[in-house]
Amino acid sequence: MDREALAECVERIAANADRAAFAQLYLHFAPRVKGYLMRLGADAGLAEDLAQEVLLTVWRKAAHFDRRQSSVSTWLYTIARNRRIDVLRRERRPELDPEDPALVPAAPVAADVAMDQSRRDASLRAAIAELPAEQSELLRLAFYEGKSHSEIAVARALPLGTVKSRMRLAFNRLRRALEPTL
Amino acid sequence: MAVFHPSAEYLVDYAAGNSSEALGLLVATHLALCPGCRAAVGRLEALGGALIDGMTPSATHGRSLGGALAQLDRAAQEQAVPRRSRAAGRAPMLPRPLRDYLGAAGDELPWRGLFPGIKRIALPALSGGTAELLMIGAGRAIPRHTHRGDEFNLVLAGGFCDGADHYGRGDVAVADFQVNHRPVADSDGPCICFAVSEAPPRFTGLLGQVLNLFTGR
Ligand SMILES: [Zn+2]
Repeated sequence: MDREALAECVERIAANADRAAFAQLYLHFAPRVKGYLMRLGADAGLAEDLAQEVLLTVWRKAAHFDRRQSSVSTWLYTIARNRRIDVLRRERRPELDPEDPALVPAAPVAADVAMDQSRRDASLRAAIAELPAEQSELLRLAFYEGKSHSEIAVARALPLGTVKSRMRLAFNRLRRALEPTL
Repeated sequence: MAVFHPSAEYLVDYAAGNSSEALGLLVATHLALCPGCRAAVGRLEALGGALIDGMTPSATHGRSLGGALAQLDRAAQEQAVPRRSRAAGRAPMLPRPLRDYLGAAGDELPWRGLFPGIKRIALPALSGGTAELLMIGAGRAIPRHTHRGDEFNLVLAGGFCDGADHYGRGDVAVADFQVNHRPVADSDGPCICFAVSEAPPRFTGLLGQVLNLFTGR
């Protein structure tokens, strides 16, 4: 299923509590979310239970999804990541609340300057593919193996300062690639 | 608008779900006050989305979908919240992530005197470091804590100067434990900071146990 079709499923859930749309999303994402959680240390049984919870959260929170803000995959990733922190690390996850009156709002971006979501995803993937290996390796360890930057330094026997500066380089490259271009 | 931001490695840790709870809370509180870093974290989270897309599906039980469908009737759907108008009222001093940890409804907080001119509220124990709220009287120096890890100060109200730099609401100052400097609160009123002093990382795993032996943790 492509990203537009996935976003439509979430919107159908929000609008009509559409169970068929939920089933479609479930069959697409539950096995992937399960794979992600197993990769980050959950056993198969726990990963399956958590993947089910993640998809049920999609059902409950469908009305909060906004396809202009993120893709369904990115939204699901954040839900799965947070459940992993709650359950696998047994920690609270400090929650950012989009409705918080203390939140400083973003300045609106002119429509002709803003990159649309699918172009942004394509630019991001291109930028990652072009990162030097030593930088993309760090992102891989962070996202695919759940290692913090200080854990990466230990695991790879690199000075902490080297890990920090490589991450900053990678981050700046990704940022430049995604900046709206005039 | 914030001028001093957490550096990239802390935003990557946060987006990938690898922050300690103490620094995760500091980053989340900064994100509430800094739309630029919020957007940057959103882009990093898109990396996580790409990871989900590229994941080899791991077969789920045949009854998995049926089990989920059976639970839908009990899983009440939340309604979309209409965007509040932001004009109404003054923004509370404490952004939501921090408010949750303090259990405080408004800006009424249980301050306790620490030294003359300095009051403090300790947060419950968090992984990765100690966290506290500090109120520093006008013109007073901001105290340092441990000398083992880095220290982070996020300004919530008022401001302070450190050398030529001025830090205001939303700004994050990082003090390397080797650096010797003396930040001073602005003279026109108290400065309220959320301060985290990072515990040196405790290593896990077999290699980690050996390293902990050497570092005495
Ligand atoms: Zn920032």
